[in-house]
Parts: sequence; C-alpha cells; structure tokens
Amino acid sequence: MAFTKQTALHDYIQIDHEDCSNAFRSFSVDNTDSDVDVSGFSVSGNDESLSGTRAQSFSGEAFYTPELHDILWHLYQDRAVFFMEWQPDGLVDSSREVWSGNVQLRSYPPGATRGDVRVVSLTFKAADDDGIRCSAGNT
Amino acid sequence: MTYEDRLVMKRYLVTGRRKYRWHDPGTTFEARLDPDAERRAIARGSIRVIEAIETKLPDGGYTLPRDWPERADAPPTRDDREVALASKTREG
Repeated sequence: MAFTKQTALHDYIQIDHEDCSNAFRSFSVDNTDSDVDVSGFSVSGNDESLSGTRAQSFSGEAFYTPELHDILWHLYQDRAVFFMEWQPDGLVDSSREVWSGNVQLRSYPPGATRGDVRVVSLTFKAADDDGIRCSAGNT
Repeated sequence: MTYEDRLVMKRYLVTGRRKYRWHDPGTTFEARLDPDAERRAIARGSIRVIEAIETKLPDGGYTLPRDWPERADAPPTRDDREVALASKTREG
C-alpha cells in the first residue's frame, strides 16, 4: 500500500492562540524518553533498558519580524505558560493530526547576519504534566 | 476560575491582522478565555472585548414544563424538615 507523501507547505502553527504559521519555515515536535539501564548479570551479557522520563518540546526556525517579536518577547519576559499547537498541513486539511500542549519559551535568541534573512531558532518546552499531546483532527 | 466566572462569557472582536483561535480578523466570537491568555491577547492588540454576557435566566423568565406536578399542599412532615436541614447544612 502506498504512503501519502507530500511536500510540507501548509502547516498550521498557533502560539498563544495566535496564527503564526506564516512566520515559520521549519517546525518539529520532539518526544524523547530517557534510557534507564536495568542490566543485571546474565549468561548473554546483553544490556537491558527501560524507558524513563519523557521530555517533549516544539522547535522551529522562524523569520524574525516585528510582529513575531511582539508575541514572543512578552511570553519569554513573563516566563508565561501558554498554549501551542501544530497541525501538519492544517491550513488546508483540518482532518490531520494535531500536536498541542502548554509550553514555555525558555530561550529567545534573535540575531542577524549581513545580507541574510533574519531568522530565530526557537524551542518551546512542555510546561505541565499533560505534556504535548497528539490528537485526531476534525473529521 | 470561580463558578461565577464560568457563567460569564464575553464577545470578542479580532482586532489583529492574524487569525485568533481560528477566527478571522474583523470577526467576532463568544468564549470564556483563560484570564492570562485573554490579558496577553488584549495587550498585544489581537482581540478586544465588546461585551460580557452573563448566562443566566432572567428572574421569573422561565416556566416549568406543562406536565410538571403541582406543588403539594400538605404541611411538611418531620422527614421533609430533616431533608431541608441536611441540605442547608451541606450548603453552609
């Protein structure tokens, strides 16, 4: 069976309930469980491990613009916990899965390189024990 | 958020140039927003409160269903008073 491959062009990104899709040119969600070593003495000598704590975050590269700065600076300055959402292809397909959660912006590093477009790399870490959830889109 | 807060909805106008909670700029919507999210959105000019809507029935503005039993005319018994007292104690 074929997989529905597509070029990423229409992703929906919401920061503090505001549509910021057009500000980003790359975006991802990171879900990583730590590795807990539970190896004991055994005939095989193989390692054993279990999943430990789970770290989740959104990250992406955005164009550094006055409009985005107006949103992000206050969230960072106030250490605010705010709602964030990412829906792959969400601007044209509301049935796609939705990644969402309450997050904090832990670093805000705008900068500039002469002649290059202004961009800023952003990481939003999950801020409550609900973490970042993946739910079904509207069908 | 208190019980009373939950009964108050607000009508908002999207004043920014971007969608707010999927609502287009220039459109209105009704919602009960998280107070912090509302404060931030108003501060950055994304939305404006047009009015607060209290979701309650006006005094005397409702009627019971037609098949609702009529009020009993017998005097209250000791059981009725105990039920009323227990109810009052729970509320207090």
